[in-house]
Amino acid sequence: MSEDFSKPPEDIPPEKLIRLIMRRPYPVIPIDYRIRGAESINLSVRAITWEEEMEIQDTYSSSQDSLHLAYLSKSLLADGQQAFSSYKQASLLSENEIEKLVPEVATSFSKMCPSMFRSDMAAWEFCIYQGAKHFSNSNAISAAICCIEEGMGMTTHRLDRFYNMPLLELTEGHGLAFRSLCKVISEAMDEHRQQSKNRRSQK
Amino acid sequence: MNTGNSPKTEEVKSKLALAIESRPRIAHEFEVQGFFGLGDKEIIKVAIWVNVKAEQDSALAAAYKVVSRLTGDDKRASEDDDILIDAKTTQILFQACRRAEEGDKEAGYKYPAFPSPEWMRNNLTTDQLAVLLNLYHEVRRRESPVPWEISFNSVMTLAKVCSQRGNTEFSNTMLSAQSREWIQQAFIILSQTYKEDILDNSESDGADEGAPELQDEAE
Repeated sequence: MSEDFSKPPEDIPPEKLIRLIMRRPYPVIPIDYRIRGAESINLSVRAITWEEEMEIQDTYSSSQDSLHLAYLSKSLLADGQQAFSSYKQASLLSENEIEKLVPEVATSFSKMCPSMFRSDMAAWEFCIYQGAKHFSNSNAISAAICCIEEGMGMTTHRLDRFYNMPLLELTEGHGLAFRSLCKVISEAMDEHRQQSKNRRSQK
Repeated sequence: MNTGNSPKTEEVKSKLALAIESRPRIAHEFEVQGFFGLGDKEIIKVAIWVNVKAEQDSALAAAYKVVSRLTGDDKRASEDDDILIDAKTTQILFQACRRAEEGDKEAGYKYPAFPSPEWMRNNLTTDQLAVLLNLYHEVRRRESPVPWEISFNSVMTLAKVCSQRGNTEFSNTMLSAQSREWIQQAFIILSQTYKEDILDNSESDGADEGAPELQDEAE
């Protein structure tokens, strides 16, 4: 049995998926697995930031096993707090535990941590754009409008203002969601301009 | 932003990391035969645990160094998979096999069963290493069993296929797809069937009772 983890999850509607990947400081998904010796500790997986993703790719991409453990060490939370502060700490897990946890991380990432290294970004962009257009995200659209600066012939997207977080602490999902909201806004403005133009030409 | 210039600080350990560090290692003891340690002292029992990733990583790194030392400038030898696999196996088994003498269990199996990976390479045969490797896989299975199912019908179906196809590639392929535990149980089921169908019938005084009914697992 193989799952395509590159595509957006089919069991989450687009309008909910965009809200999931926009969560601050990052989306988190609880997992069922319990570690021996720490059975009372609840585990969950968080999305990783763009900076963390690049650090992992730069350091561990030569070995699949090391790459998987690096993702695990960065993303695993224990009772809501960072489980491991380093790859070395995560290496205290047994082979069996890593074999169980790596698929949990992969499954969680597939739902809330799109990345150019793992995901079909075109499919994700289409899905999230559909979600951005949904009426239930109109508040997010309103907030995004206030975070687009026009001036000196340039348009600046202020993701840091939208999420109230430093840019390098954002995830790729954060960027993807904001871009989709901006695309909806841009299309709405284009439509508005076209309608105004049509009205003027009719007079 | 991480500039890489920040001074080293003590690593912060979460509750989980501390719990993992302090938990006892689980090792399974096995009786072995034909193994001798330093000074030709017979090794009667070996305890085996599942390596943690750090032990696995250092075993693999050490294996590459051993291969590099063994093969020197010989490029073809250094790229030989068999040499690397054997080196990796020895290093992994050195980490996983623990001394199981009196008091070792209470001490958390602190000491390795064999003096060094080099010692194992020089003193254990490939068959002995294979035995240890099988035991290591057995421990991994015990620690993290993969669910499997077996039914009388599935065993008899496979047995029928093997009897018709004989010792062919097809039979071998079908059997190799099964786990060791499945084949173990299948052998037991076939042995019981053999006893009921053939041995018990041949002991009767020619009375034509017919073969005993094969039990369906649903009954």
